[in-house]
Amino acid sequence: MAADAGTFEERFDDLYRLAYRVAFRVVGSREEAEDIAQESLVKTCMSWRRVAAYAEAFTAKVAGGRAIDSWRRQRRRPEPETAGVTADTVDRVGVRLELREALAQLPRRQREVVVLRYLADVSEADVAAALGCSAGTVKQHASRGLDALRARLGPTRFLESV
Amino acid sequence: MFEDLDDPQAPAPSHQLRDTVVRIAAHRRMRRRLVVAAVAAVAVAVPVALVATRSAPERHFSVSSASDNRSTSTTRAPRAGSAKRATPAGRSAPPTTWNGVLHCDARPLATRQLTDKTLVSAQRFGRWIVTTHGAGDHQTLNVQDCSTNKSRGVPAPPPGRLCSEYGSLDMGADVLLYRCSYADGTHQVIANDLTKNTVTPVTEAPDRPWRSGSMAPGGAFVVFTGAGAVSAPSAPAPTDVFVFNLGAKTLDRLPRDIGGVADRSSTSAGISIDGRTVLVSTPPPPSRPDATEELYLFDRTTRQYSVVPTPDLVTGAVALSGDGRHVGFQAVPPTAGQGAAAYAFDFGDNDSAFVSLCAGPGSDADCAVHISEDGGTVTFTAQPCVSVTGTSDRTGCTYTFDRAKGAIHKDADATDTRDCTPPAG
Repeated sequence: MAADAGTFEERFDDLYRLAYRVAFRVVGSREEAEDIAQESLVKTCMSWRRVAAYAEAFTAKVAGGRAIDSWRRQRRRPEPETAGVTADTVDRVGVRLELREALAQLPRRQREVVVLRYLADVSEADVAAALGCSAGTVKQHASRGLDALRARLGPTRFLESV
Repeated sequence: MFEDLDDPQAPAPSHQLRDTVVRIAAHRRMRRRLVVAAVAAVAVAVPVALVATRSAPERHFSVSSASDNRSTSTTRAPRAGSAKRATPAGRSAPPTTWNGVLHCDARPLATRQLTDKTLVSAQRFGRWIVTTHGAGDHQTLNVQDCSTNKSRGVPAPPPGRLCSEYGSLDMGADVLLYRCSYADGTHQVIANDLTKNTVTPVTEAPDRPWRSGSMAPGGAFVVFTGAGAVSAPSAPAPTDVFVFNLGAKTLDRLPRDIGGVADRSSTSAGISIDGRTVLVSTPPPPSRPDATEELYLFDRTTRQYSVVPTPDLVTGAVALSGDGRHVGFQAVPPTAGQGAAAYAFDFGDNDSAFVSLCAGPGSDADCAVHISEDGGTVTFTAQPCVSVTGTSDRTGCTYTFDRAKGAIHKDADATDTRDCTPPAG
């Protein structure tokens, strides 16, 4: 009989930092990123038995999805886009706007892979485990997703290193 | 690459926050259970009315016979007009009515209608149909023998604790493989000979617990991937491939030096009937930066790996023939603008042979490439409107390619649940 190591409480700190990082990279608002991170951790905790083996990828996927949903809701509201944004530079705000638009337009699977691989820095193997597909499929989605981002964002330093 | 977008003053997680999250999760779990219990009570009180009026969610499934006795096919399609895509009914999901047909080689004797509110999944393995059912906090496992049309439950493995979930279902000959997960997070992997009624626990390496695996076609070996702990969020979990001999009850860990590169992770993709040859997939070395993965055949007698030549973009499942000398796989041809194609490789050759396109450009469809026991035929599923080599037919569905004759034919058996109509225009 084999035991699966690590409890939710033991891994909470790392998972929270990860969820916050993913959320903040998309929404750019500290308060909102905190809410998203907390909600993501609640979902991870509820599903712990099932997702413990790939908890980082699962948490990042939930956080990324919620961050994009949150931005979509904001977009439908009349408030200015930068409401609630912390001390971001104009450059960062512009990149975030473009990034959200570009992510929102990707097919769902591509978006999940791009968020997990490049916003959450999750390994290919763990993305594959979280999404229930092969590492090859992850690589393919990542490649196509990046191409789409490049086409949308144009030359930007954020994509230079990939 | 998006580090510049990070918050330099990100708040640190605290114990209070952790406790709050755990408390909220516990509260929501409890609320969900109460809702499920309430829905279940209603379902028990008025089941007939629910079915008659079709007010309950209803899902259809069909377990099709496949072109090869070992192939499995499970499809679940919602009834026309249903808004949501069908998903397996989990333990916590509301009661669901399943209506479907289980086919046993098209024999009228063995075809039956099934309406089951607890059915989680149904899979066809040649002679056997294996179903899992969710009930309360545990699942049950049932098998139907298509040769006798008799169904029976599979007892929980020793020490007799109920399994909260069954996974890794596979079958070789009459031996059923499954992973039994317990409520406390532990698990056992079991090989159950359905004809001899014997139960064999599969040994795992302590440092690499079971992640996924499959049976050898003859039912004598289990090949599986064991994954170690992740050292950092961005680091991949190290994985090794193991072979468990069900007769000798021995565990063999495959070497990590693959293709002249030391310490490579690998995942299992198949094993021959005699257990000698194992097909493994491994992340590409730095010398192939554009490749998705590399495939290798491992000879357990000589302890040597030999590479399976593939294009850079290998996608979808890969398959090993029963004799261990042929590989079928799906990859994107190097020619620009092509979709995915099915390929076949024969041990000792320097290159893999193109069989046919099976998916359009940009598609991530899995062509379910399968190769027969002697490598003589390759079966694959093509998307509608893809030009299948050797035929003018573009309606999609499953095809079998006879490599000796160079002939291809459409497998009618696999078309019963698939929409083969090409888009208008």
